[in-house]
Amino acid sequence: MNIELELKIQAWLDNELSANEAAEVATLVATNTEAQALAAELKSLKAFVHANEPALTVPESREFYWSKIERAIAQSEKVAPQSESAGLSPIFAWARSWLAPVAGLAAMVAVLIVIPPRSSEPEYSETDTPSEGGGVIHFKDPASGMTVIWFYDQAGNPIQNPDSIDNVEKPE
Amino acid sequence: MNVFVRKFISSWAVAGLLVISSSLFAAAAEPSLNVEVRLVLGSEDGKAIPADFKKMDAALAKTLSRSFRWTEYYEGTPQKVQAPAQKSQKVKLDEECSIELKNLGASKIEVKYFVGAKQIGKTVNTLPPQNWLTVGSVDKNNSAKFVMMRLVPEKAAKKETKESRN
Repeated sequence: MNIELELKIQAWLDNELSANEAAEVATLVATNTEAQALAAELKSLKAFVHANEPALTVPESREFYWSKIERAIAQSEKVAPQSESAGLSPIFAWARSWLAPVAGLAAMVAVLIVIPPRSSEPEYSETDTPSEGGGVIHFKDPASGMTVIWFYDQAGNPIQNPDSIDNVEKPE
Repeated sequence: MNVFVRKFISSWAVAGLLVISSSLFAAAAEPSLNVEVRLVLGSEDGKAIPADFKKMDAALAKTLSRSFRWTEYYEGTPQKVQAPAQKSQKVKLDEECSIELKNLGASKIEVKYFVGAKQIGKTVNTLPPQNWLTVGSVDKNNSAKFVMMRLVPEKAAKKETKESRN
């Protein structure tokens, strides 16, 4: 007999099967000796457990017992807010409930104000000269971090040694 | 739900909305730029330099003299200019030389360079902190004029404003 069949017999004894299944198992138990023996063993075990189960009784009635629990729950709900504001004025208690979120907000705003956003923009440069015949020389000195934009006309010859400087954009 | 828990959650929800709205506001509002502007004169002999000009910082003078033929550089009194976003601002540096600054946002600045009424040139550049942006041209009497600009950290700008009020 497999385990499934054994479990079915156990369920049959506990009246947990449908009518059809119960009939099938009853037939099996009636015809199969092994099933019959198992059913008899389980029956005697069930009877033994029932007979030896200690009967515990609650000193109070069921209704009184649950009413005690209900009262305890109601009382704890009243006590919680009172203990929260024990010794505090209602205004202070209200302020306290707002203190944590407002303090958090203030900290975040302070961080936004104090730490300036770093520009992620790449360096950009665009130069033009509206005067006719004029030109522009644009260079950057990395050592001093200086960008120089020099406007000149055709007569101007300001650059002494432009090849000595990096990033020189020579006039066209 | 417990009354305390409900109150706690609702107060956090309000605070969260405030944080989101303030972040959006901060992202939308482009800050003003505090720009220090100074006029620098390049000279070969130090003559005809106005009395209120002083010798320029040696390191910066060296940067200019490496590239330009003038050997001496003198700087005027620095001016602090607050450039609100997307607004042009004229800065007069002497009788003839002036610039028009415009804060284009994202640390970009537009500079129009004028000598008298004539616009000599225009440039748009990013202005990283600690870096100088200099525009210049040849001036009369074989001299040169440079306009140097740099960002003033907000903290320093506020400190100076406070000191000037006192």
